[in-house]
Amino acid sequence: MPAQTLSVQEKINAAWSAYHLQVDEEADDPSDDEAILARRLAEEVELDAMLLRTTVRTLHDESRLDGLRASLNLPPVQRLEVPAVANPIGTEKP
Amino acid sequence: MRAASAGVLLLSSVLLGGCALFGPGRSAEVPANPELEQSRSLIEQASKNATIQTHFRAELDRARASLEQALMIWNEERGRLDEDDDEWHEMRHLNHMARQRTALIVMQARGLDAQYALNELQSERERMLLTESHKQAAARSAAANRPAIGLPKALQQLRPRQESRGLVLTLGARLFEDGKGKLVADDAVFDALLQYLVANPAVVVSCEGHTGGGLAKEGAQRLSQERARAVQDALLERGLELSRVSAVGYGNSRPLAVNGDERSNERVEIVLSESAPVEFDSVVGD
Repeated sequence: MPAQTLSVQEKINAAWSAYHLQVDEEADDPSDDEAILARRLAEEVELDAMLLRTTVRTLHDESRLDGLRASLNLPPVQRLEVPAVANPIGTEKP
Repeated sequence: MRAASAGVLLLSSVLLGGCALFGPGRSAEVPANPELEQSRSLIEQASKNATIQTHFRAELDRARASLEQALMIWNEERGRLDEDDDEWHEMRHLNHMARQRTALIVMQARGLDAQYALNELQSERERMLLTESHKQAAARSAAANRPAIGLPKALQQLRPRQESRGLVLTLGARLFEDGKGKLVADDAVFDALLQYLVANPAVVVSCEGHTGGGLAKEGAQRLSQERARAVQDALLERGLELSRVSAVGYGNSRPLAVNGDERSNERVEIVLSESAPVEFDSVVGD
């Protein structure tokens, strides 16, 4: 999953930049723009990374399952699909 | 100000519950937001999944709450938002969280389903393999116990068994004088054996003598050789060529049962095979 991995990596970089900006600007108040941006990106990157890790594990298990089913001449399984995310980076400014 | 606004939004979303999502919360004049509609559709689809209903209901409610907050912002601003507005970014963020949470739930549920199915199939496969293994073992056992085709009836009492070295017939100790090498006459057995060998000219015979553990090594070796030779002689006397029958004594080195009945270890095994027989002189000698 190179595209998803790259988008998570980009968001990690964005989250770090936002955090450093917050520190540089001494934006200690949660309502400050820099603090809001840093919080949003931190929340998103945590969730995105968790989704990436879970997706990799699930696809691995499903691949094993599909192979086993094929060896037993069983039909493939129908699964709930998740459409691709249009903008994985999400918000970039508050 | 912004924190207070977020608090009001959260309270509103809790109070209104699912109305913003699935009820008439959105005014007819507010244009639909495609991204929010896509998230709503994804949540609706996920909520129908049995695994999600059972295991991820709370997480899905959390995703739904995020989307409700995003919808609130969109509806309050009546869809008139662009990238210069703070609310637009907050709405995008909340929608992203709602969508990714739902995607995470879907992937977790799929992973759980895959694990369940894998465990079930692997168990089923192991059962099938075990059954097949048992069937093969039973078939091997049946083949080993099946009387050899063409073997005269008199030889069936000699417990014939198929081994890699050939068909093995066993003459028990009762066919010999006690503690001696002399064969007690059993013409029926040897006549039948000869009849079989005449009918199967490619078959050769190896007579292998064994004794129990009660004797000293040298005595056991001698007795086993004498008994093997006695069986060989019985066949030679009936006209079998020397080239087709050999004799060897193993003493007590190859017991059938290590801690079992010593008497059962006393035996001469007649091995019928199509390979070349062991050289008589080199093995038995005098």
